[in-house]
Amino acid sequence: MIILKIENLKKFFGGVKAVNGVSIGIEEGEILGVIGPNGAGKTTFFNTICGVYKPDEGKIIFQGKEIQGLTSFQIARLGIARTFQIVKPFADMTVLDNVISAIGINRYKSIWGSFRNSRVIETVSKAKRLLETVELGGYEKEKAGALSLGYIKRLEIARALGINPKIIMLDEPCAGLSHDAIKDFIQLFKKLTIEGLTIMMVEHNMPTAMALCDRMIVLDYGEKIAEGKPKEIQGNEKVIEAYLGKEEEDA
Amino acid sequence: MYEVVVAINIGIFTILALSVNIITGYIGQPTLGHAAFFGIGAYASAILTGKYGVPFLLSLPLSGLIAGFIGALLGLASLRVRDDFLAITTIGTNFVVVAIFQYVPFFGASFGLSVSPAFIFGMKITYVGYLFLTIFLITLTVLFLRKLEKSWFGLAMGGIRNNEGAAGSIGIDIKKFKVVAFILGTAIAGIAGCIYAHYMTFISSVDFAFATSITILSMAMVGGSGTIRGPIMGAIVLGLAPEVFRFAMNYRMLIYGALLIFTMRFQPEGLLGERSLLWTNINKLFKKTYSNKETESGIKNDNS
Ligand SMILES: Nc1ncnc2c1ncn2[C@@H]1O[C@H](COP(=O)(O)OP(=O)(O)OP(=O)(O)O)[C@@H](O)[C@H]1O
Ligand SMILES: [Mg+2]
Repeated sequence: MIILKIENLKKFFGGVKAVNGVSIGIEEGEILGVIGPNGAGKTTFFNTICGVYKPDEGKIIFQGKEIQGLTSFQIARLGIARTFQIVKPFADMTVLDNVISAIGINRYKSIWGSFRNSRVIETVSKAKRLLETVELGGYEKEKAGALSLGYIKRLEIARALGINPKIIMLDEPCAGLSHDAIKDFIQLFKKLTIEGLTIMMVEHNMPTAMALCDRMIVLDYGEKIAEGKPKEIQGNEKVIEAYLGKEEEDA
Repeated sequence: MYEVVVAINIGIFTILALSVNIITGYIGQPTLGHAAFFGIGAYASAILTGKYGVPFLLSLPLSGLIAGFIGALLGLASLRVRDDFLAITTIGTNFVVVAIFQYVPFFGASFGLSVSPAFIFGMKITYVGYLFLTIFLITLTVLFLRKLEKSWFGLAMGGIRNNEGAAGSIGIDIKKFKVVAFILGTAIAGIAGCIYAHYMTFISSVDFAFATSITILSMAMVGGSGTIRGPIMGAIVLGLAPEVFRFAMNYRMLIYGALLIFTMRFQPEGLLGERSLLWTNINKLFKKTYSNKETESGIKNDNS
């Protein structure tokens, strides 16, 4: 079943066509990879779905409902969680509070309700469980800002899971991590999909994306140039061209 | 008697420092015009009790409501502007409010307003009475803030203070919480203003000028923003200093301003902030007694 459907999505920044008519359906429980060279529009694609930007054109349909134009907190409340390419921890708060704050997603709906105590046993133990899941068990009391990048990325995943999402959008979760940590993440993501979560992720590293994704789409200059199973993508001429072309420019 | 007067003053500024801290410390919005709401509460109560015969006990919450209502408008305005410009907007608000008190005859214009004495259950409040009332309100405020810190509201404010993008991504309605934080902070300042007006028995616009805003902010920031102990300590230390060092009285504003800048530059957490030098050392001193390895923290290496 398709959980999230994107139709002809466009987001322009002045003359820059960051996302230019992308369509894709995401199956429930799958891991969909979004790849493409630097500046291809991957992050903008995510930000537009998550309500950071309003799309210039196109539809975003989540569980049968059109959601384009909603703001990010409304989209989060529907069950779409995310992490950030440039990490955004609540730096001066403890690791535990970072996660607890996400578990409160439904408590923020009413001001009166939000005055209630957040440190109740169920909530705290749920937060601890999520921290265990991402192997941050021993760091509850640390300030999030004092963690290393790799640990902040784990924390962002725990925080995103805290909202009890149906779909989680990960923007380069493995970037900057060691080989071992990436292995951990791959296992974690697979486990999460078995539990019913749908994952959409930007991944730069081809081998990682190949190992992880059920399907992939490739963006280049804001447009979707390919879609398919990792094997199919690997041999796709347009994709090779997009990547190689960019690499030559970089060199 | 002199001690009581000093204590009431410090008490009122404690409430003010605690209230500005909701806006600057908890939810992280710069505000340099807090004295405006202190003034709105004071003038509101002076007029309600003086011109409309409203009893003091009713006027006390009403002045909070009125200040909070106007605070809501500032909160709404804050949604439209970014940090540095918001600071300027709040300064502007302070000047506009003071100008209204200064020039509109209804508010006594440049003559100021004399305030009718306050009665509780038919008894006129004495200086000692005001002291107890102030202490009572500080207690209420502290209890409220402690609840707030542990609440979902507190987490929402922390999220917004740290990163609005991330706060939105976990379902926090940033605009709503900002406006409510402004309402809470300004309403409490309004209540402080009500007490001030009746205890002074005379108010004029200069009492609530920009300099007062700086005093309030210095107390909160120097003490340690984002905490409860910080603004209390700040109000006591900065409130007592000019009494102790009489000769420095005339340079009070200069010293407060300098302290504020010094704090922001070298110890942004304030004296008693969570990770400030002083507070970490106080904590260490107490933790030594139960010394265990848990406190040996610091930046963890990335084993990932
Ligand atoms: N807020 C913005 N304002 C203007 N231009 C933007 C903005 N965000 C992105 N862009 C532009 O849109 C294009 C797509 O950027 P985006 O960050 O989405 O790419 P990306 O695929 O995520 O790249 P990377 O792999 O480097 O993360 C780029 O040309 C970028 O400069
Ligand atoms: Mg990106």
